[in-house]
Amino acid sequence: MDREHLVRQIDNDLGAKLADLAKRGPKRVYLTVEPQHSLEVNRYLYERGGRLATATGVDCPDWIEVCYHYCFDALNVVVTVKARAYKPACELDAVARVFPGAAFIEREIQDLLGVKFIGHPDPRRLILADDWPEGVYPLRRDYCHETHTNTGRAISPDHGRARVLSALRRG
Amino acid sequence: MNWKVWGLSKSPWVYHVNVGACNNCDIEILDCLTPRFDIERFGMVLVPTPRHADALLVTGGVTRQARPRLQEVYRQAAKPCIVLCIGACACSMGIFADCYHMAGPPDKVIREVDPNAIIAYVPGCPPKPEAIIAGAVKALQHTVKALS
Repeated sequence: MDREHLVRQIDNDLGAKLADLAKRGPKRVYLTVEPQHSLEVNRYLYERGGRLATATGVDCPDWIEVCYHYCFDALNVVVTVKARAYKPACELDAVARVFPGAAFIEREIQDLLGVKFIGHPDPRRLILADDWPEGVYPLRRDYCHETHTNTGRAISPDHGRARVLSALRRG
Repeated sequence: MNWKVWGLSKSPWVYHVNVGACNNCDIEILDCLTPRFDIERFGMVLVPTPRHADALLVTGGVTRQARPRLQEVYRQAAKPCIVLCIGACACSMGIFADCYHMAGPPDKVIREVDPNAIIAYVPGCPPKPEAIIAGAVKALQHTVKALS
């Protein structure tokens, strides 16, 4: 059993449900899935012995990408499920329904990026302060540090690189 | 010199408040208590409640969640009370300046409650135990001189 074998099995069992299957580097496999298939793909990897190392979130222009990273320790491979939660609803099935280990990291993503995890067993606030206003998500790209609000401004195609670079040049 | 200042001038009891530090400053404070530095020879004792404390050792920039707690701890401490801001974050917020979850440096947060608070700064990331001891001694000397 090696990475190629695992990838062939994943492709065989899940092929129709994946929007994309990419191999980047010798140890990384990325599966891109639409929200309706997220739960099934996550359950498959979990039942195949994948260990959820962590989950991360990225604010993209039209969706928020929640990446579940599964380690297959014996194979030295990390398989990442990139599930898309489309704006403006940003809804995704909670993987915590399948196994409780995902509960805390999903609560954190819910706090910081505003993804709504449907069917989460315990969707309370986790890490933001008690007096933090409802519906403000500090790690979204449109978060304004002066007003502490989400401006709703669209993400620029270069993800704000030009703005940051010009600010750096100004000193 | 009134009796309150006289009581402060020797063997200050300290209370340790972490309001958002990464734990490195806290480790250095604990180092002060180990036999190598042994601040107890100066009569400094780490006490478990601010009501017994002459000095607050504050580490870290104040998070939004910790702000009311720090103010409450300061209110509970017997006055006159010296606040020692230990580490870069407690002095000036360090790399956490303007972060979304931060309420400001401890000196600002404490001055909201008591504009005349006695505040000393020990910079460093983290400061050495020697620096913490030197800062505490200097703060005490200045305070006693100013109050008597």
